[in-house]
Amino acid sequence: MATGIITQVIGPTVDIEFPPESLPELLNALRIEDPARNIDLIVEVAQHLGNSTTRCISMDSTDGLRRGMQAEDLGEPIKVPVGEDCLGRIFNVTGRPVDYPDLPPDTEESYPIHRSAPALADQETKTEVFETGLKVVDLLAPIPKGGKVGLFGGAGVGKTILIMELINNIAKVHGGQSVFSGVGERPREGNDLWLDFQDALITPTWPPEERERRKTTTQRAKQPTFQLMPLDESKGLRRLTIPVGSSQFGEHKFEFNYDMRARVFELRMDGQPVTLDDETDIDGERYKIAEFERVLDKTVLVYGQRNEPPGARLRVGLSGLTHAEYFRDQGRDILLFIDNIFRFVQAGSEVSALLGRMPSAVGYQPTLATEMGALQERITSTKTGSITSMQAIYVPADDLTDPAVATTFAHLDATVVLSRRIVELGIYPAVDPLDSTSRILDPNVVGREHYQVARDVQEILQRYKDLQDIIAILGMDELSDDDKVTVGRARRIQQFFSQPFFVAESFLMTPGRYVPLKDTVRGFKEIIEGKYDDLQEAAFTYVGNIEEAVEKNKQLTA
Amino acid sequence: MANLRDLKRRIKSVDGIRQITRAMEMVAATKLRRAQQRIEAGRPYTGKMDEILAHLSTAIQAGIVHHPLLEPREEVRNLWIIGVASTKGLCGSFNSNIIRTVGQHAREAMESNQNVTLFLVGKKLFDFYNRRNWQLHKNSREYAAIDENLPISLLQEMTNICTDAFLDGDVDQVDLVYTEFKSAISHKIVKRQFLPIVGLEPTTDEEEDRGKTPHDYIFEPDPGKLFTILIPKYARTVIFRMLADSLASEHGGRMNAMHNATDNAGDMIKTLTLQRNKARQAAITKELSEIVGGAEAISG
Repeated sequence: MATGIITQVIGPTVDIEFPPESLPELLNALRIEDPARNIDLIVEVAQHLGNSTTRCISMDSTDGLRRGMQAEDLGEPIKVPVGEDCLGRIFNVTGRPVDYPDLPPDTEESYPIHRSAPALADQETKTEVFETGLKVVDLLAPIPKGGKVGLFGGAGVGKTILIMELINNIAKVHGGQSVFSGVGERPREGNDLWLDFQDALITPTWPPEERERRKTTTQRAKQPTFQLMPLDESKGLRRLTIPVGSSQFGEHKFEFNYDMRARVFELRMDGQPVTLDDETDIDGERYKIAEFERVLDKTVLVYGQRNEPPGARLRVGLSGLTHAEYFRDQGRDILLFIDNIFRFVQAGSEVSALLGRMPSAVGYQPTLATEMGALQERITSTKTGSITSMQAIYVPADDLTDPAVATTFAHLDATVVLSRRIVELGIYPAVDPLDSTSRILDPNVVGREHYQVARDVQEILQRYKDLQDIIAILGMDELSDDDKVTVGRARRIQQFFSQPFFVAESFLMTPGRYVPLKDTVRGFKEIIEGKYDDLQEAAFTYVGNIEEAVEKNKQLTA
Repeated sequence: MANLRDLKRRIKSVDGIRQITRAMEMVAATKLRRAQQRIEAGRPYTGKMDEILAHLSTAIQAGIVHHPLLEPREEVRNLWIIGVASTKGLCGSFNSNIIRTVGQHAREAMESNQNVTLFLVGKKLFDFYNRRNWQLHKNSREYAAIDENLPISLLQEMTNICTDAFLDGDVDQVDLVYTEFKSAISHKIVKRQFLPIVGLEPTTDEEEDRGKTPHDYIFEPDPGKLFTILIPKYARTVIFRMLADSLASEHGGRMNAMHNATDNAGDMIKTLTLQRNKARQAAITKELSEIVGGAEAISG
């Protein structure tokens, strides 16, 4: 392909001059290489400036570039490897593995990150509720299967922790594949998720022949996890995870290793190879060896965090999405988590001025809505497969009318708004019950009872909000009897929205709770009916279902 | 950031509320003064009445005089509770305190198997229990909203209703629940027995005198006749004191409540104004930076 020459470098933008007859197409990837100085950079053509010059956005740091360096046109947009073997791996924006850089995924296929959205005729029209186990989300902003959910929130109101909880409740239970795309957030969060997913296990549901196969061979496509499971679980004995390397359980010495290249594991007990279903005695108790798959091996992680230049943050969302699209087109139901869409807009705004565009409202790029539309329209479910996506959206200065936020709103099926006002009340998840809503909060989808309860809850909370000025000025005593009851219930409902998180267990010392949808609806319905008017408000904080609140009340009054 | 127009509208409405509460505070202050004067004016009479009856109490204890209104019943089956609150709201916790105390007292009495009838003065109090279908006295409705001037006829009627019923044996005990006026800012809920009349303790200033030297009166006309006149009059002063105290407390309560409300509204206006100024400044800054940024982009 054609080769050009760098003529100018301004921050993340690079101008490259090509021979007039072989100008690269817009959005093509160009490679700038200088092995001697350890430079291997991909840039993307963003503009044609005239005089055979292209202006490009760099996908990595432009440190060390010089005018006059050569850039090779790859003749196609950035392509990322996709496929089964990408599961369990971490990639950067250009599809290079980050976890084990010299071990590329074993896959033939690669997709360009710029693709067009599915045609309207191909899109899925069926709606179905996706249970999350979070009371406030399930009740007020039910998530449609194959739909898009946005988690809006200002700084430090708990967007990331909420998305982590959703991953915990959905991705781990769901058992299917998911894609996590980290856009411009803390690099530490990526590391945490990676480690967490290694420890999280899926209880396998293999057919008998697969089970047999696993007993006879040491071949594994992904690293397995072995546990020693007590045969008699009633004695309260714990399961023991056999770590990589050597370990000692009771009188036995274990040796466990996995060769990622040969994809073979080795598990030895006292020097003898053992495998699935083998039994042994440890400290006088009989144990069986059980095999599990890691949640990590069902997940593709794609990161372009805030330590990377704007080009990477601008395109990493597309990279992650491309993986999800591949699985969707294979007929799977996939989950796509993006944290944080705002950083995508922010990255766009960072390069926009350098590309010579005039800033628009609040200094954002004039192409804000177009860029957002191009990304969001691709996140959709087709008749072949579905993508259920959850996106965190940072709300600058808690202002929901900010153009970046307002533009995102329009694309979503359900919006969960986290509010500082609720954080100040000490209620987590700090979901604003009056701002959050969902397209499927409709009697035809969620059912009449759920719909009615949700609307009644909102009505009571709205009334409470209206009365708040009166309470602030004149005091509770001046309210009519009816209003006093309404306020009491509103406060109970507000507290009942709080819920202990699984992902915060180690901080809160309270185990997380998964509340099934029907328990949620029933709980709120009974609060509205006034069944729990005599319970203390504190009894409703950080409990699961309504029975727990009754139980907590007993403890509090005792 | 909240929108500028909404903030302005809220500031205006809170300011409106503040004007009203401030006016109400002043009205309540005036009414309080008048109610206080009335208590003061009644004091020589009620004081003297207390004094005389206290002196006579020794005679009662000695069994020289008898009066049916002084006779406790052996078993209290029918109990009336007279509660006094206000007809108007916006007086802080004045009404809700009385409502609570009346309810508490009635429930306690019912637990000991007494048949409780409520006689409630003040619309707020009356409505509360009427709506909940408690057993109310048949005349209670007429007294739900009373004349604030407390004419003597009103006091007489109320007293008569109670004493007649007591003498006829329809009721065995009548209790009062009302707010005693201590000062403009301090009130106390009192719960006391009205009929049969009790608490006529001998009161003398010197401690050592108590119980030792009963005042030896020579009654003219005879004690029986005197008591027939005196005791109902005493009952009336109790009713008067109750209503007058309650009214004064109500105005005191309202004055305080409105004072607090005015302060709260003031605080709220302050926070809202701060927010408004911030919002305005943010809008100005945003516009400026957009213009500057735009100009920069064109020139650059």
